[in-house]
Amino acid sequence: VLSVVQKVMLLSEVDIFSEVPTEELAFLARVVEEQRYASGETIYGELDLSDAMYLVVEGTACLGKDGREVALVEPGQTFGTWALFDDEPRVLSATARSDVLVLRLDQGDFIELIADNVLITRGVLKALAVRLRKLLSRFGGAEGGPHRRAMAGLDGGPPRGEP
Amino acid sequence: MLASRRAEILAAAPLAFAYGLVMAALYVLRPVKGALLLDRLGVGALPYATIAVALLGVFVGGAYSKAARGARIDRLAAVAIGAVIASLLAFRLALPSGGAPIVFAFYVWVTLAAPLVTSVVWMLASAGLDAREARRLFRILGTGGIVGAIAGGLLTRAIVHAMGALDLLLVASALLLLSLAPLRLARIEGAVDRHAQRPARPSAETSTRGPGAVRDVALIRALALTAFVGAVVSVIVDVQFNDFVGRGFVDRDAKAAFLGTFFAALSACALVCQVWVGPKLLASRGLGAALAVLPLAVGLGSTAILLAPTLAVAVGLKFGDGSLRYSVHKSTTEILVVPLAPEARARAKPWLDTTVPAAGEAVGAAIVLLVVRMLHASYATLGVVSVGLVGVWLLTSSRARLAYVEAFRCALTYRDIDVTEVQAGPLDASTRAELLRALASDGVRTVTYAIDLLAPARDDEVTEALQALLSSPQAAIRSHALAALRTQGRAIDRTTLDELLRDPHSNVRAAALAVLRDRGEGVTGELVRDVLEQAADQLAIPRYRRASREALASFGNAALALVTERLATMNRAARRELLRVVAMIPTQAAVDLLEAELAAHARRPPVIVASIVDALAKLRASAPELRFDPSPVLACLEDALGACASLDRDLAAARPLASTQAGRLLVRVLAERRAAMLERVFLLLGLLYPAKEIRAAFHALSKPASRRSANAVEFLDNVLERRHSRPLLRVVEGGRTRAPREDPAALLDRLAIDGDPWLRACAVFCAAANGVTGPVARARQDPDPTVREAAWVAPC
Repeated sequence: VLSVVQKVMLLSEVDIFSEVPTEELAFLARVVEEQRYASGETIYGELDLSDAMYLVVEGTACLGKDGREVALVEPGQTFGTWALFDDEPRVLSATARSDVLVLRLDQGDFIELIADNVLITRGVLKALAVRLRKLLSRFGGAEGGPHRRAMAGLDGGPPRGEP
Repeated sequence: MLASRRAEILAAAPLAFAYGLVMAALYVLRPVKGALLLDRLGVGALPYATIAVALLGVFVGGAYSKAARGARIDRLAAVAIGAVIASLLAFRLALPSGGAPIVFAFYVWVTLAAPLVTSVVWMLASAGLDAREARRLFRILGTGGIVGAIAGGLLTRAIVHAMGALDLLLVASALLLLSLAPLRLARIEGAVDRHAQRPARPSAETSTRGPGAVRDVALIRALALTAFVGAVVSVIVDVQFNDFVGRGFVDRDAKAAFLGTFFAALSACALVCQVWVGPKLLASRGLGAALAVLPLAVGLGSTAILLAPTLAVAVGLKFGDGSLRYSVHKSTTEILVVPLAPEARARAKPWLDTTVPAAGEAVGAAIVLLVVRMLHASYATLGVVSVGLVGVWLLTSSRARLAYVEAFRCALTYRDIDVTEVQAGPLDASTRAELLRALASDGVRTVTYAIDLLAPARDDEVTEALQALLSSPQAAIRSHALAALRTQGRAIDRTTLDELLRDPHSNVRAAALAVLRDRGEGVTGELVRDVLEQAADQLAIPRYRRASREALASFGNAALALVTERLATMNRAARRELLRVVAMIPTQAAVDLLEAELAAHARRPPVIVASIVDALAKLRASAPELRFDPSPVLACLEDALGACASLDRDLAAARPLASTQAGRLLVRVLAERRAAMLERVFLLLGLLYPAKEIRAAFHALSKPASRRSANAVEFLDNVLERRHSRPLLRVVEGGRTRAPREDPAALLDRLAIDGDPWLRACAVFCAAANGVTGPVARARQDPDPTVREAAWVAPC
């Protein structure tokens, strides 16, 4: 069984929690569940209900589509992250490649927690904003491309001289 | 608030003065251009001039808008006014020897330049003020303009005989030159930048409300038709008036003197209509009557000119048209665009205000040419056309009113009317009737929205309707109705109020509390205690927090005793809410309470200290007249700076541990603590120095090695007292210390007994991961479960 501190160590390495203070991550650590899957066991299937995010602690999980392997998830990496934010069905399936220990963060628990804890909400939103800004700059924001206005919105207003 | 209003008025005064000078100049030019045209070319040239203005207006307006978009507004104003002055001087030189084309060009140029010059003043005003201020202060600006127009007309009359009409161009140039000085003074701080940073106009792709968009189209079409027909008629009236003036006065100066007097009187009458007749008519008869009054007056005048074609009748016709068009009619049409969706309005308004009237004027001028030149009828006979067009005008006005009602209903459903816009002006009868009808709607949100819009209407019918809603089964409707009645200052009977105080919904109770507080009756003893206790309990429930905070704060000092008591007993989140309540009570007692709490900062959790400092900062900003004792702030600041330096030492000692995951976590926790402490330092400095600048410096320092960061360091070095700047700069410049770096094991041993349980837990885990067993063994007896768990599960 992992302690709260150990879970926080793992959660603090997750991209969307990178801006959440560690003390607040301890609240998240208390609601995540440890789950074990034997090699070859299905964690979730394609088009399943999106209800949780998973963080691999030990072993390797395999993400696939239509029976083809798409990606391997190693310890410290997460999968199914968007399940925390929307209800779209799973696009990929997840299977245990070896015996796997994962931390499962339930969508309902997460929503309940961010409703009560503004510091977690703020940290997650900040991380999402950082991710979005990076994405927009990759699509030509710096060269004045079509996403410049959206980037400007993230910066709090249109750039000077913008019509 | 009074001080801020006074400051706003003082800020607007130079603009109003400048606008008055500009309008005076334009009202000197207006009679001159008319007199010159009539004298040299005769009234027959007027339709051609009108068509030329309409056609050139499209190009000049477009070029001007393009120039205005990227330019600094203050420079634009100076350039626009300077260009007009230069052109006037050029015309002064050219007109005596020039022929008909120069006079024609002068007339067209002055007509085109007038709106450009006035618009720069309005742009400067709107760039410097927000929407709410703008509504209040545009009246001052408008009044300045009308006074200027009256003065300009009277000045023309007084000096035209002595100077001659042509030299009035020099007077107008001088007035425009004089306006530059107050315009420069009127540069409200940030106005220039705000103008440049205006958000982009909504694009065509911006979505509008679905069915609402259809209603918007119908309303815009009806408004455009009304504006078009109105513009056609105005040209006919203008030509008729000028015909009689041209024939009624022998020389150019006499014409100019008469026109000066006429326009001065017209402006004075327009002012009376604007401030008195218009609001009364709108409030008592509604939009329909207010829209019909101008066409009816013009129709009456046109009939009279057919029956008795004299100068007096023509003057009466033009007087009625001019005074009503730019007062009652303009105000009414401004109300008609209120229900348009913001995007639709942004697109349609400039079109309705400029393009449509210009097209109407061009068509009006063409009709005049057709009737007078081709059919060889007299100018007075044009009255027949006017009367016919007035009939069409009345029909289009009626359609516009119906379209408005439909669009208003739709906008109520979609709640996309700006409440402040409706609340700022008088509520016209049609809108009021529509809103009263909406109160019976099934949709709760539509009803509450209608209540908010009706709140400023202080009449018995509205009050009665709102009182009936106090027994609505919907809590939101009850609380909104109560708040609206409170805004109106209407009495609510005690039995109803007592019932509402026991309402199961907190928002309703909060609204009832606010009414009680306003009345000041019976708000003592047990009742106050009960309601305050209730409100304090509700602070724990997120959705009721705001209402409860407002309710508690509305009791002022009476709530502070309870707040003090609860601060000692409630949980951390509720205590933060209580401190937010204190920040909303601008009294000395509130400041004293916060200072006492700050003095005890060493015994308070960091998050509570941050809330205390935040509350003090808010009070200092909202009530600077209160007495703020710097000593507890200084003591807290000294401790915070000491803590920052200590955390820097801890971070330096912990860095060698960062090769392990546990060590990285410990370093991150220390860094978070340091960042929080540094933020507290800056919040505290904000209580001793200008808060805004200190906050800006803090944000600049968050990007180390940038130019902003270097500027912030320089700013702090220059502004802060040495006893504050030295330790702070040591911290922000990297926390270099002369003290020898602590041994990591000793650090872990010390942190494992820190007062902060989370830091203890991380230190214990890190100690275990690094084989430092002493703290781990001790932590197995720690009172905090997370620390104990870390010690037991640790990989020791």
